[in-house]
Amino acid sequence: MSEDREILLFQNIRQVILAERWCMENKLPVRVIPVPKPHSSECGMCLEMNRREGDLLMTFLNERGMVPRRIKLSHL
Amino acid sequence: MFEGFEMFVMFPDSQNHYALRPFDKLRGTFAQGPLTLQTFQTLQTFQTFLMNLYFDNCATSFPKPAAVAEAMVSHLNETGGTYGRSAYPRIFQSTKLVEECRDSLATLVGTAEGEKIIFTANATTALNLMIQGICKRGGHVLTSAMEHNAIARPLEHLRQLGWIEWELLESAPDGTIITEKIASKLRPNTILVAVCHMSNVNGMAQSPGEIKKAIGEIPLLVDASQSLGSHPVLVDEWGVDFLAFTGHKSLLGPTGTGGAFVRRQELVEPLIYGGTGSGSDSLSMPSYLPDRFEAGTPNITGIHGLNAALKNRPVPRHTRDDFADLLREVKTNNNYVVRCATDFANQGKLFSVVHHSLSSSELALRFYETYGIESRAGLHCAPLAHRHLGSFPNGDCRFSLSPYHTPEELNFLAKAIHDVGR
Repeated sequence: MSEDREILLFQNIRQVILAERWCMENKLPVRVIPVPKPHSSECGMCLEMNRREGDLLMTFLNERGMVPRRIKLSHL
Repeated sequence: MFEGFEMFVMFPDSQNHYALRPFDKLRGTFAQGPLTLQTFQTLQTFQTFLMNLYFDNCATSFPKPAAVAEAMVSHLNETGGTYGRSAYPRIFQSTKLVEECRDSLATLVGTAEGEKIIFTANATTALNLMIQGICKRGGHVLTSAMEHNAIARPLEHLRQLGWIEWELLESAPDGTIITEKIASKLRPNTILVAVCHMSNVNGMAQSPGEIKKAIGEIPLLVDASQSLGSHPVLVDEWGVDFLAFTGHKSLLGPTGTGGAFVRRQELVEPLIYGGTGSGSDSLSMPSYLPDRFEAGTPNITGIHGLNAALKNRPVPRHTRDDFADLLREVKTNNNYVVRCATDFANQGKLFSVVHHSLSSSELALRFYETYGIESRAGLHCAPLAHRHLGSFPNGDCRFSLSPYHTPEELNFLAKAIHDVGR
C-alpha cells in the first residue's frame, strides 16, 4: 500500500501544525506521522497523504505560502 | 472540614471579636468552636479580609483566571508532551497548543504573522536577545529617560565592552519622548532605538508609531512588558521592528512565559544556540522563524497556562472612569506628589506617590500593616526613570491595578492613601 502514499516534509514544526489545521478545516485528508528514517535528521513530524490528493494538496499549500517537499513513500 | 456548609457568616464571639463561621443552611445553624476560620479585631478588618488589596500587579499579576492553573496542572498531570521532536498524539496536541498560543499573541500585538512571535522565558530575555543580537555590529543606540534596567543594563554592559555608545532621547517631565527632537539625536551609525512602551514607574505610555515615523529605517525596539494586555499594541500599524513582552503581568499568565515579535530577523544574531527539532543535520541554527531564536525545549507547561489566560480574559470589574476618579482623588492630597502621565489618555493602570516626609518603604509598610494593601516601594528597577522624575535614589511607592479590582476596592485604596499620608 505504501506506493499509494506520499509524505510532505516542511521547514519546521510550526508549518506542519498550520498545514494540518488548514487541511482539516478544508476536509483534505492528511495524517501527522514521524518523519521516516531516511529523513529523520528533521526529527519531527510530517504529513502523510494519499498520492491521489498530492497535486491538490500541494496547490492548496502553495497558495498559502508553503512549499513542502513531496516524497513518494515507495522511494523511501 | 467544611463540607456541607454553603456559606460563611461573620459572628462576634464573647470578646466581641468577629469570626468567620460556616453556616449550615440545611440545619439553619452556625458551626461552633474549632470550625472558626479566622478572627478579626474589628468589622473593618473583616471587610478588608474579603477585599482584593493586592496592588502590585506591575510586578506580577494576581489573581489569575482559574483556567490558568487548571491548564498547567492538566499538562503536568494528564496530557504531558513536549514541542515537536516526534509525532505521536500527545506531542502533536501539545505542539498544536503552543502554536495556537503563538497565533493568539500575534493577533494581540497587531500582526497576522504568527511565525514572528518567539517564546522566551520573560521580557528581559527577549530584550537581551534583540539588544545583544543587534548591537554585535557596534554603533550608537538611543533610548528613553524612563527605561527599566531590562533595557538599560544590557546597553550599559555593551557600552562597557566598547561595542556601542548609548544616550537618552529628550523627554517631557512625565517621560514622554519629544518626537520633534528625535531627529537631532540621530547619527549615521545609529543602529537601534529602544524604548519602553509604558513606564513601570508612572504608567505613562509612549507613542511608538510617532517614534518610528521620526527614525525611519532605523530599527525600533519596544518593551511592552507593562502594556500588552492592558493597552493597545499595534506592531504592524506602528511599523515597530521588534517588541518584547511578558506573560505574567497584564496578560495574566504564569511567570516564566514571555517572548518577542521579530520583524527584521536578519538584523539579529541568536543569543542561545541549540536544538530546535528542525534542520537537525546542520550544526548551524536555522535561518527561519521562529526556530532561529527558539533553541531548547520551551516552557510548555507555562505556555499552556498563558494560552488559557488569553482565552479567559476577565471582564474588568472597574471602568476607566473609576480609575480616573481614583487618580483625581489621590491628587487632591497635598502631602503627596503623584507620579502619572500628564495626559490621562496615555495613562496605564499604575501610578506612584512620593510623600513629603515618609520614605517609600515607610509608606509601603504602613499601607500593608494598617490596611493590608500590598504595594511596591523603591526604584522598581528603573533608576533612569527616577532620575528623570526627580525621585532618585529614594524611589516611590507604586500601586498597580488588576482587572479584578472593583470600584469599592479602588475607593478603599484612595481612602487608605489619604489616611496614611496625613
